[in-house]
Amino acid sequence: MVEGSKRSWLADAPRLLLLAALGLLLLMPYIWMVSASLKPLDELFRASLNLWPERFHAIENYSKVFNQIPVFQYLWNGLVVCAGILFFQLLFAVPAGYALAKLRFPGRDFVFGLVMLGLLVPPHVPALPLYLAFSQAGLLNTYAALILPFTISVFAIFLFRQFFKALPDELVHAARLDGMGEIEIVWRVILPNAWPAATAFAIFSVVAHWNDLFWPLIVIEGQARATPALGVLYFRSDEAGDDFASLMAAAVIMTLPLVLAFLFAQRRFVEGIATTGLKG
Amino acid sequence: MTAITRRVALGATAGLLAAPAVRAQAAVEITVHYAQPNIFKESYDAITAEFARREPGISVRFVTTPNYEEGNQLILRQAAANQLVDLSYQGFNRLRVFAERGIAQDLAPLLAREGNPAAQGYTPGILALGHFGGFQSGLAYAASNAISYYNTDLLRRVGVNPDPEAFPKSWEEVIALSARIKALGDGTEGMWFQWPGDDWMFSALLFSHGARMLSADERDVGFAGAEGLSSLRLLRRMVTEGGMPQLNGTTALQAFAAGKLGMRFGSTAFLRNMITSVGRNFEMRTALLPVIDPVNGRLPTGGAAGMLTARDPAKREAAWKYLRFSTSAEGTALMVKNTGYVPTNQLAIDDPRHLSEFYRENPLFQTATLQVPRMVPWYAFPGANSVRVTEVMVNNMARVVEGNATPEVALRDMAGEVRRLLPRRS
Repeated sequence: MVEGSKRSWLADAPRLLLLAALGLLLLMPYIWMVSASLKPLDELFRASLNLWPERFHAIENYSKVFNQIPVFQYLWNGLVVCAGILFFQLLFAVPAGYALAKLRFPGRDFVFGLVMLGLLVPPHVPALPLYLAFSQAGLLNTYAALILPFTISVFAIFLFRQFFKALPDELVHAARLDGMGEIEIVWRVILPNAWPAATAFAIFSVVAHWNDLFWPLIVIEGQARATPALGVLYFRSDEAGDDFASLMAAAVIMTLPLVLAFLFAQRRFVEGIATTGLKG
Repeated sequence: MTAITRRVALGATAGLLAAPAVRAQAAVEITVHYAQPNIFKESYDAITAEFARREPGISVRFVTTPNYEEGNQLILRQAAANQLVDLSYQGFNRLRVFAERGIAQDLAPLLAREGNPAAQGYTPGILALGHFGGFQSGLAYAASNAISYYNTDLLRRVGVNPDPEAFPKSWEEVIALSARIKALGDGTEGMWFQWPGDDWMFSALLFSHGARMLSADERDVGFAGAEGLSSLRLLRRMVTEGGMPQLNGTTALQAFAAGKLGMRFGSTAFLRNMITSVGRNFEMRTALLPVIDPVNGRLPTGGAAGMLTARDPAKREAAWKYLRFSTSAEGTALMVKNTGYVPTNQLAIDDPRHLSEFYRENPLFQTATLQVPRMVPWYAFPGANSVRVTEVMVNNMARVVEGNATPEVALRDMAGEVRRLLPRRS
């Protein structure tokens, strides 16, 4: 018994070492960012590489960030915007994906072709007309301006359509035989089975919109509705030099919620896959 | 009974709400935009606090952008959507775009209301910094020019006197010193000249020769002659004889702060950041930029100017008062104390009451003020292609520095492409 477990541990060791080394390599920029946020500016620019600071400057760097920008306001805005976008994206994409995958109606393939076409258009193309529309509607500098352009995600529709195609038709037929209407089928039968796809998509969506700089830079002025990415940008300056120590501290603060959310979601994601309702 | 009570209650609430509205109509609120809040926020806050004491009926709301570029685009977008702020502080060389599009307003009549501008400290040189499109489109708020930063430890190691007065006065001496510092070895470099990013430092060399970017009528380039060639040759010699490394702005700053670069030539705007970056690593001093033509040589000026954009008469008047105060002797002194840029009011420079104590405690910042007599406006190319012209110049300088083209070839290409990008005038 003892030999058996020892052998498997030794057999696993090289693989684990390789994975650990690669993992460390990928994490290195983040580790360096945290280390830089603890140092004073003149230590950042030494010719030597030290992870641990000689003079612990974390309090000054982080308090400077908290003094200069309303950090919690920015984080709260990020949360509202990402949650709002995700909610509406799921609201529209799940029924749309279901309809494209499971229902037959004239023009279905044409509509799906349009969805694919939408994937080709980068977000920068409609930016200018959208900006003019929001400014005419008086919606600049609001949550609506940050959320509305992204509520219909063709990527989400495409993803859910592919996922739902793989679900067996018997499930839908059984639900119809039970007398469920289409809306009920979507929210009570399809969505619980779509949990892995929904979580995977949620990760894409939240990361993309939490870090998005392009659109908030255009529609937001001032600090009331600013997002985390704008908070990090505050410490840059072309003319007078970037304040790197505070910049790193701001970056740590703004990315920390995402890191914590993923550590939490990772467990749920695995649970979601493990408990998907089609096994037996 | 209940109905009367509710009506009375509603009426009373409405009355209470109306009263503050009546009081508030006497106050004017203006929206002011500026760039680079992490540099300028304290200066604007200090000025606003002082301003509120003098003009209690005017309240100020701020909108900020990370850099001048985003500020430029913000005002252009707002103009297209008809939602302009009342006052905007823009980088000098972008004022011209707003002057040509009718967004900037002529400030000369407003300034003349108080008498001779020079008597208030707005000398012709300072006014010229904001004079674009044929009229006074802005008032200079904060200025910067190019200075020399050097590492006194490295200078001592090659046996050179580290006092600013003893710093090399000509580029020949600088290049020779750079070669000696590089010879110390151990990854130490001698000098770095801030040529990447934009054409500001190239114009520093060009103007130092006494030449212009474009001819006086702006139909032809002014740098295609001997002065332009001499500037590019100097740039090449910095690499070949002085050993200038291939760095960009950020890496050069890091090398200098780490003590691996002897001399760095760039804008005084960086000084505050450099002092913190260098910290205790070594002792840094600043000196004047080497002079090429002592009589006709000039230096370009970086920084920001306030541009009036309000149309509503009440807001325009209030915004003008704020702009006037921020560029007055008191306003510019507050700006200098909070940022370290060069003051933009002659009274603040001449009258010892305002800034003598600041410069006594911060001698490094005084170097830039000694170059004020040589400051000329940062040149803004006419027409819609001004940004592309800057790109063309930077790309050709890169070719010279990297050795991909001789100065003669690069100058010829640069002149040709810029001529092509100038606006056609019939």
